[in-house]
Amino acid sequence: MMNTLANHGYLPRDGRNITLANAVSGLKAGLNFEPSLVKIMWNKAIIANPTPNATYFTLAHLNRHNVLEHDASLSRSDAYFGSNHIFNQTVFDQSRSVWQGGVLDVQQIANAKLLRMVQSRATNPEYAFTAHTEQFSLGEMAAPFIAFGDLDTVLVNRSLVEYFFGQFDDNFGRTQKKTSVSKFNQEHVDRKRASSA
Amino acid sequence: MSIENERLPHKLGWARKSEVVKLQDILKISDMLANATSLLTQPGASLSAAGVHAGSVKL
Repeated sequence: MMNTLANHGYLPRDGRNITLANAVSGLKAGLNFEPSLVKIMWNKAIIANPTPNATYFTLAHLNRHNVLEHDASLSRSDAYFGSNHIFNQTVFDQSRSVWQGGVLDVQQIANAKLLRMVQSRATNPEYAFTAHTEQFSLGEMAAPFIAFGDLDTVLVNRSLVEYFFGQFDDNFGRTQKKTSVSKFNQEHVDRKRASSA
Repeated sequence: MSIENERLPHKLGWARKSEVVKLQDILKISDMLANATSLLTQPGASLSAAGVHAGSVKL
């Protein structure tokens, strides 16, 4: 989501210098977040910058594995299998394979989360997901409802979620080749083993 | 680094919420999600009996 806000110019477009002030203004302008909420979120996220007492972080900092970025994302591969921050169609297709109908509820998002965690644990020998990770993960899973859904009914239009994750047309079309997730993961396991042998 | 092209879904008619999003909103939904990640059910209850995915329940 921070990446998306940068694409729209609500945060610095180069993904750098996400100071508290920039975060407060960007999340207000893009999603109407209350400043006090952004302050709490920013203070949780600043550990992404490895420099002590940093006053900013960058989108690249957010991709550091097992700092805030974690395994079993709904739309990204685990770091073990390759890029942990580029949209992965195969992974996302697995996540949405358990979605039904045009409206998503909490149960459906939770099902996708569980599915991805089981998939990662079964295939990724370096799978990591701590209680701390879980708190961030739950916040992330709330994001589709927060950004695009109804806060009272806690439902969200599936098409908005899929568009956000990458089902674009025209200039933003996704081009990843589709393979089954298990095959995709196994190929990476084989490659890792071959390279470390 | 690579910047992904994710966009807000304006094209589909979405617009920023008029109401301010607060910490309580995120905590409420996070708690609901945490509860929903349990794979256990209540004794004698099923998801369909509870009205979840009622579209598939024969009336």
